[in-house]
Amino acid sequence: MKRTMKRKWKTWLLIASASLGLHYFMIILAQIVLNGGFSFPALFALLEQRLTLPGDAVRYLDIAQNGYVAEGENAINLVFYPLYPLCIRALGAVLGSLPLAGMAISQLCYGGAAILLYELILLDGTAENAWDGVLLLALYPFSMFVMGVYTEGLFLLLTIGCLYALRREKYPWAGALGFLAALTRTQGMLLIFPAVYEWVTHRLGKSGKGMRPGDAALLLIPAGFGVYLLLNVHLHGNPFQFLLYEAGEPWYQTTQWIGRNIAVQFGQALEYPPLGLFIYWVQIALYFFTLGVLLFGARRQERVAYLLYGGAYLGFTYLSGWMISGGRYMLCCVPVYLVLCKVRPGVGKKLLIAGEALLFFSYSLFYLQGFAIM
Amino acid sequence: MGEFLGLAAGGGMLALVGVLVAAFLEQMGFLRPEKRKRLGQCAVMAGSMGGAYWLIAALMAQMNFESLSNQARITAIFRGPYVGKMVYSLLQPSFFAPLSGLFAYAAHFLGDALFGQYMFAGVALAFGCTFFSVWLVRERLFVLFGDGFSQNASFLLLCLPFAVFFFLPGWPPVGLFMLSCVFSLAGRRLEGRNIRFSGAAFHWLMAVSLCLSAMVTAGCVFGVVG
Repeated sequence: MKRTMKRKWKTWLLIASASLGLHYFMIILAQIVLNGGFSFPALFALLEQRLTLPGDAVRYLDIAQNGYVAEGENAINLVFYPLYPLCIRALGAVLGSLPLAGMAISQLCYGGAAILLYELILLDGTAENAWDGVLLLALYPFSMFVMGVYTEGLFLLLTIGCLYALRREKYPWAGALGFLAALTRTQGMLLIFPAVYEWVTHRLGKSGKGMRPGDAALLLIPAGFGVYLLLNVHLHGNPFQFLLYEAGEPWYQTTQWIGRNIAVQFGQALEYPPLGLFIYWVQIALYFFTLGVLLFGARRQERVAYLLYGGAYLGFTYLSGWMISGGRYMLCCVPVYLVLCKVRPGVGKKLLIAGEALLFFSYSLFYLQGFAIM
Repeated sequence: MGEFLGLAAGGGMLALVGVLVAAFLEQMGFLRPEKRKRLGQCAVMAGSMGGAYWLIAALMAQMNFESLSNQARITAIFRGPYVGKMVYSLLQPSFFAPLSGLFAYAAHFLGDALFGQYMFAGVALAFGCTFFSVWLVRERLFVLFGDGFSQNASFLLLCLPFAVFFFLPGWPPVGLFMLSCVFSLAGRRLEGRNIRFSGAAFHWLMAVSLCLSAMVTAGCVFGVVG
């Protein structure tokens, strides 16, 4: 049945408000639990304290305010990609508050991402699948980050947008969105894998339609990363200066083989039991869960381009030694939702959603309490 | 346990890469769906059997050498003189024997690509060679004798008394691979016939062979074999 534009808009509004509403509902519940009652001042204080001040949020706001610097203690802010702080600066000039702008961008982008996810799933599945996909994304136990000053909301929007454009064979759009994604997070450049795969199978495959001039726009995806390298050159004369900063204090992140990283995380989980529950066990579990989902997707003959992106995303993320934000990073592994939403309705799916909901509440509460969820 | 998780994590990622390559080949029309299905079955068979040998080796080391660290318990399977030398040569490859040297160099290059994980690369390469060999054998037997026999025979290959060496760095995986290639090519001249082999008889044969195989694995852990 063809959907009218009015009906589409209604659905989109419902998706965005349901996705964001679920998070606000969670925050309100958490505030009631933490303060023994509800009050607006306490709610705003909690929002400010946990969504704009912790961890990377401060650094994004600093870049938005002062830009990148070549010297001083803030020179290490170079490890953060430029698009999100640039957007904060632009919207901040209108709203008059950078933290507010950061939150608004994240939340609006997350709403948009949920809508695009719905539309993407609808291309190959049913409306029920699509709603499940949106719910699985919203209930991801570390999805609280889409509400605060973090890149997750923007990155989700750009990634899902790029995958949607690829699926519709709108390669110039895919290239443009991939370019922006590559300017938002390192993992953005991985979109080149599904892009090349889709292009080869659709243009050069058995029933290929041949090359078209607009297809070259897909090269914009690696170009996005190239722009970031140029930024490194501009500031420090070294295109890979960000790697040096990542390897130093306070991140100590170097590239190591996945197996070694998992073994190290296991050791750390045993050594630091309280942190294990928030960081190390979570990262180990997420690795094997995601790997299992992708293999399950391959067995179910899900779209290979999505699985390829999922595999590249998972592999690339877990190459990072001394990772402590794996839970947050894996939020943007979109193929997991694309595969899981198509699990047939039954006990398994119910248990999956129930488990996700319980973990979503628990980890969101821990995050809002200030535990080591980064 | 941590080392085991690491091996499983790295192996899982390589398996996913293999699955996606197969899906790509199928989508491009280079691999027929039935062939891909058999390929997947061979991968599961080889991966599971290799994993089983490694697990029982670790279990034996756990029960017998409590003083060993976690990592040493897993690598206790390398205690035999040849395998021990082979593992050492993964770090500093040399042609101390033609096939072993070939394996050592190939694994060393793979280890470079995996950020210096030479031991893992050696094991992964052995698993890869064995899986591909089993698939080649199965494909040829499938043409000659049909699905049932080819599945049983290729599985039996992984249960042979010395099959544990197919999953360890050294010449056996390379040798098996070369023999499989020869069999796959030379087997084109053979004529097919319908062989009936009782399922129960196969299970008995498999069980006996696996007992011997477990004994050889234990021999590796105690350093008296390999």
